[in-house]
Order: sequence, then structure tokens, then C-alpha cells
Amino acid sequence: MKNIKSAELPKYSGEEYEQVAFRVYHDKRRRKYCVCLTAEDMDKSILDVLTKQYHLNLIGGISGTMINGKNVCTAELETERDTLADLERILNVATAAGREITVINVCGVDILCVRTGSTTFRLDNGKETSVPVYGIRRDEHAGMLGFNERYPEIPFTANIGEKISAMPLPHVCKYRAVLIQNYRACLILEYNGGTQALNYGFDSPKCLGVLKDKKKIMTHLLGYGNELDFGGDCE
Amino acid sequence: MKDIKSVELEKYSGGDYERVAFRVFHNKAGRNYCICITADEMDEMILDDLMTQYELNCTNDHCGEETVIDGKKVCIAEFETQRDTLPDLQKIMNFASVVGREIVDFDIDGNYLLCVRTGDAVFGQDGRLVKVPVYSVREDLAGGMLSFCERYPDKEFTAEIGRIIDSQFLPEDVKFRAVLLQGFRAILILEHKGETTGFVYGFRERKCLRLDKGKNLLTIVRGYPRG
Repeated sequence: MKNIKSAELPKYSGEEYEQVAFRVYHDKRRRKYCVCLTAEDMDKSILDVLTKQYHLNLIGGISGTMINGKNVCTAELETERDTLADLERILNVATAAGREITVINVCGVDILCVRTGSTTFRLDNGKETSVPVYGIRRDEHAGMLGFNERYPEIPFTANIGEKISAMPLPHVCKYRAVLIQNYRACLILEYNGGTQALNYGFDSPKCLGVLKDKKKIMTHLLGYGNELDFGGDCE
Repeated sequence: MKDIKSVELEKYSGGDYERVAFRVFHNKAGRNYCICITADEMDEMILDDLMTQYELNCTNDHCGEETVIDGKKVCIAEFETQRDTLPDLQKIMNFASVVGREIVDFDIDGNYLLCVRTGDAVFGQDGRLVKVPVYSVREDLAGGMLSFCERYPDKEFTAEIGRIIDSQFLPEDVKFRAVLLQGFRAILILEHKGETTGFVYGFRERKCLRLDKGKNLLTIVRGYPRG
């Protein structure tokens, strides 16, 4: 989902709506918070992950509309109630405006991510490869993560290519993306029909090895203890 | 820091201020967001950690001094964001979720972790009942996006951790300090032979994983490695 913007629906000028901030509105009668997002294309599966993580409901589905002569998709999202936790969640979703949001599937698990840029690195055969870099925003039990650029992502995105070039990279595989989570960067690659992750630790700072086991990959991508209950390897 | 409440200062009714929600106000002249809270006591170290994590400043009006409200002696502090952008609003809203909670700085070998108390755990040890506080770790120095609202794992884990510890083999002659919750881990913090040790239980694995100390223990309780 790219070119995401927040929009003001005509109904928001009615008496029952009050703007909280940044185009997030309080529906006083129904006691909910709501926001309307537009994007050039809206993937229903990404919206499903967003609404599930942030405990939101999609009102009326995705619709197409013309704004400033341009065809865009529109989705209105609302919270379940109007508590502080609900407001926090919808403000976090509102930070999607101006970002590129995607869902990366690694080993069968959907991971909500925000694109922070792309990186170029050199393989041992001299060939240059470019992959997108994403910050992980999966927080399924709380939905308290914003899509704002966080401190570690900015420096990590800027110099991860140089770090990767120094790592033992096979050149007969498909490089998919670099995923950033806290103080780790994982280069996700498809090799021999399986998923592997080259794990770089910025706090160490060194390559911490190649992860092949599904559970270990998920531990590093989702944080300690947040991995799912996997059996066996990803390969 | 207990009995935390948000209060409305007189100045908030002036034309420079506009209510956002939950007693967070937009200071239109200063172009930032602010909130005023009271508590039974305000530890300077906790205030400093909160302000660092959520990128807030104390205003000149109130910075933790004692005052009397409704005949009760309390400490009062007003916090403000640096600007009035969306990330600033998120941070002060996350901070506003301290209201009604008990916030502590938990010390592990001189490393202080910002935590919210979620309850107590009671378990049996050598035929005696032991009660320890349960804290959820809220340290998030890289983002300041963690809220003090109760999260799903906190509630569930606080409810069942006593029963789980009950059935574990624990070293003798230890002092039980607290249970720290982080992600899908519960770490029972012990003082054993002058050392701080963590007895790590994995809720996903449904078993005791190991005893950790030093850097490994800090990595587990923070939820991520940090040098």
C-alpha cells in the first residue's frame, strides 16, 4: 500500500464528529474513534492484518473514488470503543500516512512492515543486488507500534548494504528483503527451495550467522519469546 | 510511583490550550502537547527515565514538588512534548497511560528497567508461601511507543505465573525479588549467592527454559539485545 493519505469525509463535519488530531475523529454518538485512509491501491490482505493488529473495524469495505482527478482507494477504519488504548491504536495506524505498508510472508507467517528504503550490496561473484529494507511492525497482542521511523531503522537502513557485502553470501539464491527488528537486521533469502536469514547484529556489531530453522528465524524477526509454535525446519 | 492521576491546571482553560483527549492538552502558543499528573511520591530517577523514553520535558510550573489537592499531600509534575507532531502526540498519549498504574524502575545489576506493576504472584517454596510483585517491562528506548495499558500477555501471565512457579524446582537459599514479564517470557528474578539470576519461563513452550544472569538476563528481560 503506497501513497497513503488520511482524508476528511463529508460526514466528519457533522455535529456528532469531533476532530481529535491529525484527521482522527471522535464519533461522540457511537463512542468510537475513526480515520479514513486513501491509497493508490489497497490490498485487502494488508488491510486485514492492519485491522486485526490494531483492533479496528473496516466500515463498508474498500471503495474507489476520484480525488483531485486521480482514482484512489478509500477505507474508513474505526476503533471498538473510545478508551485511551483505542485512541493510541488509531493514532498508530494514522502514522501509516506517507509510508509504504506491506505484509512480508516469511515461512508462512505474515509480518506487517513499513518500508524504510532499499539497499545495494555486492555478491562474491561481483554482481550487485538491490533489495528493499523494511522495519517490522508486527505487534499482534497490543497494536501499539507506530509506523514512524524509529531511531535504529534510520542508521541501519543507511549502512546495511556495506555490512551485507562483508557477509558470506551465496550467489545462487533469491534475495528478498532486509527486515529490521530492534538491533538486528535479517537478510531474507530463498535458497534450495527453503527460506534462510542472514542475521546481522548492530550492537555486536557482526554477522551472527545464517538461520535456517523456522523457529530461530521467527525468534529473531519477532523478538525473543514472540515466535510461534513451529515444528521442524523451514527448508 | 503510585496513585497516579491526571489533573487539569487552571491555565488549561485559557485560550492558548485546547483539549485533545484524556486530559492531554494542545498548547497552541507553545506548539506542543502537555499533561499534568499527581502521584503519592515522585522518584527523580523514574521521572528521568519516563522523560527520556517518551521524549518529554518537565515544565517550569510543576516538576515533582509537593502540593495539597483535596486535603491530601501529593507530588505534581507537568510534562510537555518537544513539538506538536503526530509522533509527539503518540508519545504523550502512551505516557498518559501511566494514570491509574504503579510505575517502578527495576534494578538488575545497576541497569534500571522501566516497568508497570500488573499484580502479585503467590507460590509455594519448601512448604511456605512466597509472594512477589509482577512487573511488565516497558523499556523502549529506541521508540518510546510502548504504552502502560495492559496488554494481552500481561493479564494472562500475571494470572497464572504463581501456579506455574509452584510446580518448578527452584534453587534453595534464594531471595525472590519479582517476576518480570516480557513478550512471551516470565522471568523470576532471584538473588542467589550475591548474584542476580533470572529463572526464565516460556509461555509458548510451556516450560522453564533456563537460568540466566548478566548480559543474557538483560537481553531476555529487555526483549532484545542492546550493547
